[in-house]
Amino acid sequence: MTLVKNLGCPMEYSSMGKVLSSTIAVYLMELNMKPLMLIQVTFLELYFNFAFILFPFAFGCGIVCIGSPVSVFFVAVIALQIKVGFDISSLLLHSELHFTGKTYRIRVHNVGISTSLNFRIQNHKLLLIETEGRYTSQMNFTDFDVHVGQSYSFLVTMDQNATSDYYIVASARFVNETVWQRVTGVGILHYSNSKGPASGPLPVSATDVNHPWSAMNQPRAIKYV
Amino acid sequence: MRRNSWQDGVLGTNCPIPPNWNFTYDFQLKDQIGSYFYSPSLNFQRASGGFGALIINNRDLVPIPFTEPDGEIIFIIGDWYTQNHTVSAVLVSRWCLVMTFGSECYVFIFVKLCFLSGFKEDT
Repeated sequence: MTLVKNLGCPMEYSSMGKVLSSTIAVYLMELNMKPLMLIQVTFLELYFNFAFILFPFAFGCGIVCIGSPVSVFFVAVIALQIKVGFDISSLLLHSELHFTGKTYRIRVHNVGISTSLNFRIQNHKLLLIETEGRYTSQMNFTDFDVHVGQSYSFLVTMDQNATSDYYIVASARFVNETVWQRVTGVGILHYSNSKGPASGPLPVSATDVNHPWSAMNQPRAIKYV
Repeated sequence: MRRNSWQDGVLGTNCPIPPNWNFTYDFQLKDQIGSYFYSPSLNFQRASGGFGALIINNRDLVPIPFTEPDGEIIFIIGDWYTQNHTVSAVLVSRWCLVMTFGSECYVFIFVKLCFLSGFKEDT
């Protein structure tokens, strides 16, 4: 499986994304805390400095977005890598990722500042396994609300027949429907043996205004095991 | 660090880090695992893109309550306001930001692949 497509992304977004979404793996390999401290130093340097570098970028984005007819962004990012005694970068974006039937752990973080987002993958189930540092009771969802500051882990099995690519959608919750359709973030889930691009309308959130009570299943599923 | 604001990086418990300075956070994770993200807590710098995922994996010795996945993918999603962070901060202070949602905002998805199968064996 690869997740690399770019739907009308201005250059500023691309360059910013590469810089910013650095991800760090902290392995608790031993009780010695020295390696962990090193990691922390590195990423703090990163975001603080970059916040300053990015001020002009942020401003530039504003201009680009206002003038652009494209209202949907998907930024595929190959992140900056920080080596922690082992090489992560060599394991990134291998073409061998394209296996139907594989199961991936998907971690979803809402890093926004004001908007709850509904996350869903067309025709794929999200099996909730972990949030806030605890494993949860496992429950399947077609979509899940991720509020600001929350992080969730899901297991997603690539169990579709790849007749086409599939949409990955993050849409705003608790706002007017016409609004969220205009600002929804869309990505593409691409099987290596896919027979065509994703098409048709975006998958609809089951927890939207039509089924308000289904949203209750989500907090109820967050029972720690 | 669980149940402790020691070095949580938020103003009030820690001082801000000036530009071009370093600060070393030093805390114990113990048996903590999970998916987190880091971000600056000042001046709406998070709205300018200051964020990233922070993943703490289990020790190899500690079992996980599900089958080992074939790989891991990190999705970082959020709202993206077309104004810069300074303007956004002002709008939020006036409770205007939510109302301007739509005309002034986009939703983004950052994706990152990591920890593919075979990763643990390599280490």
